[in-house]
Amino acid sequence: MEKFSRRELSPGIYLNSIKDDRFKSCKISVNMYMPMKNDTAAENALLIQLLGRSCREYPDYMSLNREVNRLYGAAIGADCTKIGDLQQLVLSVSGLDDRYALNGEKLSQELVKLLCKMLFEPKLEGEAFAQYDTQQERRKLLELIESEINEKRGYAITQCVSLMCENDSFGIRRYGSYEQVKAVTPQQLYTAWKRLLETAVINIVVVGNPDAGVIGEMFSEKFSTINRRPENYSTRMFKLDSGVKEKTEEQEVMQSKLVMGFACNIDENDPNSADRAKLMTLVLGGTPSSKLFTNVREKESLCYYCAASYNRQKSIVLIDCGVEKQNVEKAKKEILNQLEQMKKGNISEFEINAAKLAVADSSGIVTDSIGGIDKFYTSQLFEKEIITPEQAAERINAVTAEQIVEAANCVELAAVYLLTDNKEEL
Amino acid sequence: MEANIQEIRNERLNEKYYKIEHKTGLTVYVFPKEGYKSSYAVYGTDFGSVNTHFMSDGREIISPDGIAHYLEHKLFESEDGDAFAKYAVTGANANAYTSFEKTCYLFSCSSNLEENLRILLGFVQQPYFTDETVKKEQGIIGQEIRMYDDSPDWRVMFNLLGGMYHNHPVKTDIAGTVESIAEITPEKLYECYNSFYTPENMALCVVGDVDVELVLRLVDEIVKPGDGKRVEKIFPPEPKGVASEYVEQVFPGSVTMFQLGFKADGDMRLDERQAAACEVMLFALASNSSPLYEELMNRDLINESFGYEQLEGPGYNGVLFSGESKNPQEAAKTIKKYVADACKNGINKEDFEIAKKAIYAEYASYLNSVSAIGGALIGCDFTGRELFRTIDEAASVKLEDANEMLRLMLDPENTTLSVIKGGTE
Repeated sequence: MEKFSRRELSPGIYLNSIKDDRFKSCKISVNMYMPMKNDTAAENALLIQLLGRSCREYPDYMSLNREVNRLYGAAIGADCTKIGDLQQLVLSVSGLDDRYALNGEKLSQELVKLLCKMLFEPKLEGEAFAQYDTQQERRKLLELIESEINEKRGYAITQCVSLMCENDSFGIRRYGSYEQVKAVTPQQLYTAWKRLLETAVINIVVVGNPDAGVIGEMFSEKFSTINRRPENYSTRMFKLDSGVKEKTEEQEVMQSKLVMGFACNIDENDPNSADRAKLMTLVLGGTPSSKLFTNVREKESLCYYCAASYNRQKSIVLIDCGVEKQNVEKAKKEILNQLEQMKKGNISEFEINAAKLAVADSSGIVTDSIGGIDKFYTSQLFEKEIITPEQAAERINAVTAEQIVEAANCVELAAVYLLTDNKEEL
Repeated sequence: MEANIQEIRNERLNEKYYKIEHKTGLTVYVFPKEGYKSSYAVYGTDFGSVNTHFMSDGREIISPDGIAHYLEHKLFESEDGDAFAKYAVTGANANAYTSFEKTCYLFSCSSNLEENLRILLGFVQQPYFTDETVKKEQGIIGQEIRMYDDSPDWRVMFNLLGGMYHNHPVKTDIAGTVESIAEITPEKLYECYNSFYTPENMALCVVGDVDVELVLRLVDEIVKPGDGKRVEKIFPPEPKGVASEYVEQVFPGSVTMFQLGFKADGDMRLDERQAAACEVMLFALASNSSPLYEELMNRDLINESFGYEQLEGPGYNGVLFSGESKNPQEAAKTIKKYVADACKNGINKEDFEIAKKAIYAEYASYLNSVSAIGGALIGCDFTGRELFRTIDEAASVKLEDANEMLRLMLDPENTTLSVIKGGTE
């Protein structure tokens, strides 16, 4: 069964271990956090891709991938995401646990060595990353940005967040803009790499059976050569700065995508207020028993999906649905009506219990997979206190009906984004 | 308890599961995972989107496209209420899906397993279709179809299958079309239900914090015995060659992407050794450490979205390569060139050794996840394979097996290229 432990290896560097011997594989990741800034987002995003591509010893992606695949098809991850006001850069390796290697190989240590080489000994040309590598990774990142439009639901959500948070660092795109990525130079990447190692808050996370102590020592040794001056990073709750922002974008689409963003305006001094907003969101649109699913989808047959999600770091609720163009106003009205019902206290015990039970039950599911464990604990690394899934479920369970209504009454519409087709209505 | 219980073990991975031939005709799998808090159950029928034409009780039936998927949606409603509402009282996370060849109903839970199994076994056996409830679903599924119409990834695949197959229904969208689902009536749903939702045609897999006794007790109590009748699935004759070598769709608001399909003999069913050998062969040929990948990447013909898969079912078999590309024709030409070279010279020995370990580790890692095991067990049941044997075969597969699969699966002279031409460049 999983067991979480955490210690500070040196200022701003934490070793998090979730020891669990049930899995055939393991995952070791270095999660690095920098403030999300308009002028550094693109270079950080490109940097993490470069670090995942090669290193001095394996100077091109073929030799690196070959080495990784030789270690039983292990996988390297180089990801860039947003968590609150921070940019999260993750370099990770996942692979078969030592116990199941066919010839007794010590795979996890090999993988950590490789991870260290990628992070600390990249392939450089003087004080710059290699020109050709930069060009290749830049092309891939630009194509990744271009392809965001292919997945319309995710695209619409990103657009709504950018609209809603245009004056907030949460509105900055995780990879920066297309133009910014295009402009990044190999020299800038070198500076960004130095800055990352010196100033990022770093969380090493080990999930599975490997000996985290040994892994911690390997990283400590490497970091001891770096002139570390980490800063304290935090996230500010989103607040409405003006009226409701609205934007309609036209494309040739068969189905319109409506996304509505809300500020939750929770009391930041009350440690339980986020749990209340979370449960309120689940009752509104987080399960098949929620108000949005049972009314907008099942009763009105307007949508295949209509759901609400809560972002804990920024205290934002997003509601999104896919709907026929002529039904957009009807869907919007019905969504707002369901929120209004919550505010008035028209919430049944059945609806509340269904949401609480779903949270309680999923707390047992989340720890039965490496991915679930990794995501659950990593998402909390900036919380004041790190709790287990069971504790998280207990806190949700303690929220009362009155508190849900109270949380709903703090919710304020901030942005409405619509992606719709450009044809005239018949 | 009248049931034939077989224990299947794997010493190398220290795992075991039970296969039970129940007296009702239902095949039941129970895979206990020590130390796991959660369970996953999947109850499925060997009936998917390709089964629109069949003989049942001596009667020939032709159903509208999309009926298996429609039936999946409608089965959630019983006379005594919605299955989601029943699960809401237990907290389980329930869902269902329809693929080309099967329809599955599933849940994950970490408490109330018995009650959840009762709900699952209960509602799947209680069809309740009325004119009103069937009509109501048209709006919801209509929006699901529209959602896929806007997905270039989905369109590039169905355009490809439309190019590869002359007649086989694998080329038809799983959910059908807005027009075809308008023809669905309660009677047509009952025809399919009564033909395919019989214990002989179904399997139940329960994985995780579970024991055989509980599952058998519930199956004994709830599952109604079948009448032993078998439904006969009918497929139109399918020529060996592809229907067209090139298909294209202009898709504003998308980047340009492709799928290249190699059509293989649709009557060929891979056994465990062949299935493992095929995966190893594809890894050796096209993984991110293969010379093919290197050339495609260095010439800017692909990006990280590049991938491949084998697609097999009743009457169809083949391999698909896919990805975004600024020049799909050149990417396809390069893939075919490497395939032709490999067919001539065989797979490189070192690439093969790397691939073999990688596929063994990938298969072994499936056993981490209760949902992955459940999905693999039900897939194995309907294809006649055994889960552990597939993993063992990956660990022991030979180079000549991989080369044989290369020749059987990849004919560079029998391909279709499907291109989505984007409008954002």
